[in-house]
Parts: sequence; structure tokens; C-alpha cells
Amino acid sequence: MTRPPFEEMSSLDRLVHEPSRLAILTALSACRSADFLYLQSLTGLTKGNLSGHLGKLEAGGLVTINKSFKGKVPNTNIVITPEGRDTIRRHWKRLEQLRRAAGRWVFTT
Amino acid sequence: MDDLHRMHYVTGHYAHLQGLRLLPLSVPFVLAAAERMAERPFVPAGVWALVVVASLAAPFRIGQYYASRFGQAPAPRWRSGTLTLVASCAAFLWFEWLRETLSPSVSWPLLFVAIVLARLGLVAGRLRVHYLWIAVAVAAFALLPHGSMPEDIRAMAGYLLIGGGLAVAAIGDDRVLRRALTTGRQDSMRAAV
Repeated sequence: MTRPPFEEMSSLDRLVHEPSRLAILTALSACRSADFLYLQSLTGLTKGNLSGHLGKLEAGGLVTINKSFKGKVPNTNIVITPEGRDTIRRHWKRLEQLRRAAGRWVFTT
Repeated sequence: MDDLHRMHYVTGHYAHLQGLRLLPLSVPFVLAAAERMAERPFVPAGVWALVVVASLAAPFRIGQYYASRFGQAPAPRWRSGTLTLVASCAAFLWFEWLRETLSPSVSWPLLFVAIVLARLGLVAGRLRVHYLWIAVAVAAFALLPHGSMPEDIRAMAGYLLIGGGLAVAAIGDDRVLRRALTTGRQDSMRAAV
């Protein structure tokens, strides 16, 4: 017997499912790389928050962060790893399945 | 989740949504329409050349503005749009050849352009709905039978349609991008998931 969709939701990967990190990974999966300014513009996060989330994603092996200088200006470039791409693809698939399951689910007493 | 789909679309089409890069390209067409309307050329050849060069060079400078304002997110190579552009141009030429061979009363190449634009207006939850309006205008122009208006008026309307279409696309795409990149606040993101 399959578990109700709401129970399934509790088993989602929290590293990916946290809203800010989900947005970051979703955006990164659509491009070759993105710089810090782009992700900040897209998510509206503060520098500190974005930095914290990127650190967690890097620790989880989902993104790589490359720091360099463009002239005298520091530039941080973020790239999703193949593992990160695969993780976000699976996560999206799971979310879609849960959404469909929740739509079909009927309260039984 | 729809907001996340939009984020995915905007990031994947970031370069295409830098609409202001299209705006300078509309100037020569509007100018050409104005000359047709005046029924005599009033722009000196030197100025024309300057306008054309400036309208081709300005998009690069505007691209630098977007990069410094919103950052950079290069699209995957297979999504650069080059293949679509080449395929669309080839299809347009084929329809043009058909038009010359069969001489239909309506313009098939323009109808094809209208369909491509309408498709663009329907993707990503009608995020770029302004393309639907341009598509309607192009389709209306395409359906005008040949000989229904003097050639001069038709040429002027054509230039205005291209110039106006480019301007509407430019401003519309820029608005879509600005909305996506300046309203992505944490609260809206939490509500999105």
C-alpha cells in the first residue's frame, strides 16, 4: 500500500527542498553557470543568506563555486555539478508526482 | 511551483529577455516609415549610415549594462537559439518561394512569422504575452489581400509593423526580465513552493 502524499512530503530531501536552495538549483539547472549577482537578483536574498545557502549546496556536492577577479572586481561564479543536476531533476519529478497524488487523494474516515 | 518554472524559463532565456537590446534596431524601420509617409527622403545618406551602424552596435553596449545590473547566466550552448533562428529563416524563405510560385492572395511567409510569434507568446504560462499582440498585428497585415491598398502605403505599414513590433518586443521582454529579477523576494519564493 502506498503512503499518503502528505507523509511522502516529509521524506523530501531538505537540502534541496528548502525554498531558497530549490530556487537556486532550479535556476542553475537552466544555465551553464551563473554569477553571484544574478542569483541575488533572481532570489532577492541578502548576500549573507545567499552565501550561506551556496555554502550548504557546495558542501552537499551539488554546486561548485569559483572565485576569481575581473580586473579589480571580485567575481563569484556558480556551476551546478552533474550530481546537482541529477538531484534537482529527480526532486522535480517527485514534486510533480506528489502534486498529482495530492490531487487524486480523497479523505477517508 | 509556477514561480519556479518561470525562474527556470527566465534563467534559460536570460539573453533573449534582455529586450532593450532590440530597441535600437527598431529605429531604422521607423525612420524608413517616416520617409515613406513624407513621400520623399529627408534623412541624408550619412545620417542613415550612422543610424544603421549605431543601431547594430548599441545592443552590445546594452548587453554590458544588463550584465552589470543583473549579473550573468549564460545559457547552455544548445539553447542559444541559433538553430531555431536558422530553421525559422529557412522556413521563411521556403514560404517566400511558395508565395512567388503559387501567388496566393495572402502572404504565407508573414503568416508563418505570426505563428512563430504566437507560439513565443504562449510559452511559460504566457510570460511573454506581448508577442501575441505582435502576432495578431502581423497576421492581420499578412491577410490583407494584395492590391487592397497602394504599394507605398503597404510598404510604409510594413516598416511601421517591423519597427513597432521590435519596440513592443523590446519593452515587453525588458519588463518581464525586470519583474523576475527585482521582485524575487524571499516571501514570494516561500509562497511559490
